[in-house]
Amino acid sequence: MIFKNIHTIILLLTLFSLGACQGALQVDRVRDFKSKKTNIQKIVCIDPDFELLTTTGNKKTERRYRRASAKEIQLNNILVRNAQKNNLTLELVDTERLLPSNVEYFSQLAPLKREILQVSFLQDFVNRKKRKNQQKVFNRYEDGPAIGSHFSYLADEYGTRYFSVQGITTHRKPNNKQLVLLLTSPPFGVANLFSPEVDTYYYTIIADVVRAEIVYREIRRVDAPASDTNLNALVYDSFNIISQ
Amino acid sequence: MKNKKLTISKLFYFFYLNLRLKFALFACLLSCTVLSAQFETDYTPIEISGEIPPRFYHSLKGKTQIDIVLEDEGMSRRNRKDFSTKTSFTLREIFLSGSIYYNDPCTPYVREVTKKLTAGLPNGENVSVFVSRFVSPNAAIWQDGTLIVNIGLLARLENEAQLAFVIAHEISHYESKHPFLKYVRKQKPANIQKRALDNLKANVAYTQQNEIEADAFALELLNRAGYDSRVGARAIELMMNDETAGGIKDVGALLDIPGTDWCADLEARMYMGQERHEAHHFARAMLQQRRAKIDMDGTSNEGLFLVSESDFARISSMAKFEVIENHSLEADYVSALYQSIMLQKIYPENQYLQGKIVESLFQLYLYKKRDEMRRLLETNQENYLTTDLSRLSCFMNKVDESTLKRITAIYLKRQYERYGSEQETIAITAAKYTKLVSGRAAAKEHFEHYIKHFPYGKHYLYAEQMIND
Repeated sequence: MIFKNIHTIILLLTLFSLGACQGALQVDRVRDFKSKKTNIQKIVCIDPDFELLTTTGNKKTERRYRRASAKEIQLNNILVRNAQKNNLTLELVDTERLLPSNVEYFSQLAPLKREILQVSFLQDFVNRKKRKNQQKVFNRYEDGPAIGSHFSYLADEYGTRYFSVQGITTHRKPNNKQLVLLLTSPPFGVANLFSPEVDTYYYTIIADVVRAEIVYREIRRVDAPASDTNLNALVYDSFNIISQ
Repeated sequence: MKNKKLTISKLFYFFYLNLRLKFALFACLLSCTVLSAQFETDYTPIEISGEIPPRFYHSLKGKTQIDIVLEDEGMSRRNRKDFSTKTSFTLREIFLSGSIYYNDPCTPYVREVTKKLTAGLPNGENVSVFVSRFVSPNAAIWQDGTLIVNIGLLARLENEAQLAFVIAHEISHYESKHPFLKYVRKQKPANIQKRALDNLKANVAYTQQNEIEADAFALELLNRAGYDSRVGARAIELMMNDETAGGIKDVGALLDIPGTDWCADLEARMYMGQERHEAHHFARAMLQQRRAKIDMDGTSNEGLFLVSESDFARISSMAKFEVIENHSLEADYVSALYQSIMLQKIYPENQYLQGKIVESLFQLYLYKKRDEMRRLLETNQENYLTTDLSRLSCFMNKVDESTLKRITAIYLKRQYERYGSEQETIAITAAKYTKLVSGRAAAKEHFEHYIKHFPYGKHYLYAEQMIND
């Protein structure tokens, strides 16, 4: 019987091992973070980042930097498009398009971006230790990490209290060359042998400058390269959660 | 007749000289008074304004400066291109991070000093100078000629000649192509040793050799420009040690609040990490070697100030305040607190300093209450190299929440009573502290106080939200 179905078993094993798009998601929000209540209509996104890291022997710096720069422009388009699909207005401040008159970037937005990233690293959401299930994907907390309240005046200038820092980091790792796959399913195994292993991380941090706190933080990981299709899916789902 | 004319002209010359001397003395006195008065009562941090210079937003799509400067150094074209791109992207990140000042009072002065040194150098025109918000007393140059002088360096040095020495040292690195040669060395497998320790030793020896070479050329540049080159040794000494460190025995004395002991020297050293401590001493030993060599080779000149003494004094004072501001922006509240208290000895009535002390104490209490103090201190640990600072950070780590709360409350109350209606930071910090300790309802009164006294303040919308919540 088992020999009769050996092909089915091999196929299933192959499919399981090919179930490549594994990943993780963690969303931290403050107690009342809901768009209906908080009425998020517009977010100012400060200069999204695209970073290509590598731990493989091949460190073609020049190509890697140029590619990251090109990808950053693609990411910007994807962010704006998917925010629209979720009825959100995303005002994207892109440093590639800075003009001599955009003084506000250096006097207001760059310091705010630094503060958001810094505080997000140094502080956690309050009451995290009281939470029983540490592995829960969606978490709600009493208070978010506190940022400086001297940014609150920006809400008047930009017509929104929500400012975000978003970005992608891809990590190219050495291929661990699954020999089992090569034996069980040679075509896939050969393809696997020559394809690099890449992890893609997508993060979004949203700060409410009027309340002077970080209200939403999300990190996603997928074991796949940052292709347009993958990025579209990641970003759409993220904005969908924010706008729900 | 001729003699009479000569006497009249002599008299005129004497009076003219006398007048010039008197005027110079008066101007010096006036500038000292203005300088002192400028920081006596308050300080407004430098705010970036005006049109952005092209260097800050230029795209990296075109050819970069390094491609032109660098010629073949036995490196493949790809490696040279890699080096060039890496440098350009790193610099772009630094410029876009908002860490570089522009249209500020410090940069033009530093550029003037640099101009004196680069006059006559073949690549001198390629050196472009910027002042950064970085607090470490240092400067750095890239192979495209971008020289970044940290505000921490301007705060630490005593005269223009010392600043000229540090700048000349960096220019020497650029002229000798040290950044590129270091990269070339890293790329060649022959330079990589099998044992990690051998590698470290080789790297240290290579770096030290470059530094000594740069020092020697810097002395030449200083002599050529007319600066006193002996000051180089003192400049290195100042970069190594913070001489404002006061050796204060406990936090109580620091804040004039009794009953707050802090860590002993040994405990502070253990807390700081023996490894870090040793690394610091190793770096100091290397600097000592350089210092001794400069002491021998430096020559005496008259020039301590060739651009302007009063400008240097103004910029140096301003830099001391900016260092506090930037420590605060980097969330290093221990350093901000300590430096504010130290500078308060010179400007006891300065409201900005009072505000910074209050704000830093509040932030430290907030981190303690949120149970994130350790993470905060560990992140900024590399700034706590003096004994005073390592002891203060050690104290902040071990102090319990209620003691820190008491210290913050006593100090805040004292300052609020004096400056609560004049100093924005003190007013908003009092409201935030009350909210954190006693809840929003209790803090309402303080937020209303802020709105009443600072209707155009930056925290206005936040205060309004806290009242309405």
